[in-house]
Amino acid sequence: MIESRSTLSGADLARLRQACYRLLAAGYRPPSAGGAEEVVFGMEALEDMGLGRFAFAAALRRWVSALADADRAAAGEEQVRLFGSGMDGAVCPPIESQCVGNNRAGDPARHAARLQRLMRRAGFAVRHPEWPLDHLLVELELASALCRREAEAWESDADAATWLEQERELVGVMAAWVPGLATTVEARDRVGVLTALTRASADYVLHDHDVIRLLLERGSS
Amino acid sequence: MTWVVCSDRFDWGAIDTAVETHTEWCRNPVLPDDCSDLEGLAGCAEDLDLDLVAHRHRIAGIDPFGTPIVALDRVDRQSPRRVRTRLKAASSRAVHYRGVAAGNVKTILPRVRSRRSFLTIGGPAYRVVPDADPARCRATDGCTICVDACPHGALEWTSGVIRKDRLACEACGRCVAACPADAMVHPTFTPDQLHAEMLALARCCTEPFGVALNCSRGEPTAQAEGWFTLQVPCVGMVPPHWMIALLLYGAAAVVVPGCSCGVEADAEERIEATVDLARRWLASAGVDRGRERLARRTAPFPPGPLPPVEPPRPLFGACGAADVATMLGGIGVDDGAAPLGLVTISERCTGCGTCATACPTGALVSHTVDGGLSLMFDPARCPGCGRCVARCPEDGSISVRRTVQPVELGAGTRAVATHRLALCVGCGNAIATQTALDRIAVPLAGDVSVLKRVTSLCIECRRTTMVF
Repeated sequence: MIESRSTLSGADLARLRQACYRLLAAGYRPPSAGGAEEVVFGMEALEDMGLGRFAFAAALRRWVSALADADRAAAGEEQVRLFGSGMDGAVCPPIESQCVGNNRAGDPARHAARLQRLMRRAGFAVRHPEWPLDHLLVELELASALCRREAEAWESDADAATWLEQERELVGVMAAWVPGLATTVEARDRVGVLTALTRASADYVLHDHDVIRLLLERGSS
Repeated sequence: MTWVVCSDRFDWGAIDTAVETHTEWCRNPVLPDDCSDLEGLAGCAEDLDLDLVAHRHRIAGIDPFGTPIVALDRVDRQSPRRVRTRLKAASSRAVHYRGVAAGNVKTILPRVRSRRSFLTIGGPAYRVVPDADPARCRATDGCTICVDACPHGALEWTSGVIRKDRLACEACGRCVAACPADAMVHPTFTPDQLHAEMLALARCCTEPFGVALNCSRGEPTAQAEGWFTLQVPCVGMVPPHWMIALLLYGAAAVVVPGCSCGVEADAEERIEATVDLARRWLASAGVDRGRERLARRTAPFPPGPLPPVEPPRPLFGACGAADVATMLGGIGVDDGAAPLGLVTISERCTGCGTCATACPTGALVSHTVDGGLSLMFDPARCPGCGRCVARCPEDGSISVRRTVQPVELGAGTRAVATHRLALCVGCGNAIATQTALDRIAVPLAGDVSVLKRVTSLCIECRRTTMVF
């Protein structure tokens, strides 16, 4: 574990951020056998990468700890109730256009088009079309993929700012709606795992939005 | 509960507080394995690296802003009693810490100083910044007082919500002092925390003591014996009633030095104006030697401090100005920067109630009682922001004077305008105030049928009833 205040290379930071997005995305996947264990292992890897020095670490730890302690069946059921689809739809789906959009104003299409444009520009395509493009899981995975490209750019001395600009566009939008989702979930969650997950997502996205802006400022200064 | 302390420069044997001493702790601020029993940390002001302490907290999984950290300077270390008082004050303050949300944390990355530092990123540091509590914020009603108060353009009103740019925020705290609803929260400088710290100081000090304000963003300043530092976000944000409140809590004198952080260019000018207003306020209440009680630099205490009070609620919150004025009494003082306002309503008022809707604190409320409409005004809740004047559709019918008037505060809530309600001839419900109907009768005088319809029927009945 990194304990000193030693510096990180740009690539290390991008890899850490990539891993954080992947870990959080795992929380929004449908419940599966061994899913919680994978998250716990992922968290251990993140701790080894120096997660502890960041302010959002506490929120991530709270989520992973809640997930590890929770009754798996109850947590899975709650996830389906809140995030999955039922007779009347999910209670609070983690989908951008359902949280901040207006269906009649065509917001779902607008959100999807924006994300599709972003993906095309970055050279990505969705492999699982069953997820709406503006589902938080997809947005987190996309952010993770962009961070990976950024890390590769740092490692090959290429221009990382191009990827940071794209991350800013994506994460800026996430920072505008994920905190609201966390508040909604907090009011409706009966188990607590999803409250901790959405709170950790909100804390991380807000933090990362600031980090991306600061990195871009450093590049231009 | 135990304090973890540095024993390099102070003999902790003279303190009757549970401490765990460490040599050279300031240079290597290790935390105990089990922090559940940790009351706070104390080290030497010369060596303590607060960013490193915060970093160690995060590694240990502890909120670094929740642990009281006392940096003892040379003057502190000369007196065990003084050290005990400082520990007690810090501990009391920490009891009221309620945690920091992600919206309150500003990330800082070290500056690029070299080619190497451009390619690497030092460990991030974090600063606590204020953020709006949506449960209390009146932005939905159009209130933008905090936005107007921010000198850095970090706040923005968008569709009834205050949006904050954390990176632009310099945590000067002016939005906190300006918000009349206590909605702008700085988690490490809440009214409850300052209240608890002042109460603890007053209880621990058996001799007269003074309080020196200090910018938390600037360098800590060592104080002379008998003086204690009260950290505020910036001295430039301190409103006049905070300065007087410190005297009411029991301080024999308050030192309001210049701004030591120097982030906002107009801080000195504001401090000068605020101290001047606070001194005039003291003079109006018959408190003598105001210049010495609110001094600009440390000096001997003036004799005969104000009788100390233990306010039941913090004097640093939204109601603080009214509480201070009531406790202090006197004839009051008029000033454009006074923390309270007094509303006057003229004959031109039509009783439309727009002012009550615009008021961010509920100081103006419209009530319908016994066939009449009353505009009730509570002077203790009026921050003198002038939203009511800006929104009033009748020019000159409402005015606000920034003033502190203990007599008016003592009178409490009262009706500042009353209007008779005109009733619908169809259903008997209220149409509007008679004054409003009289006003529209003038432009409609040429069209008698419309005038009769509008002035005798309510909106509902106009759809179904004909009037001839």
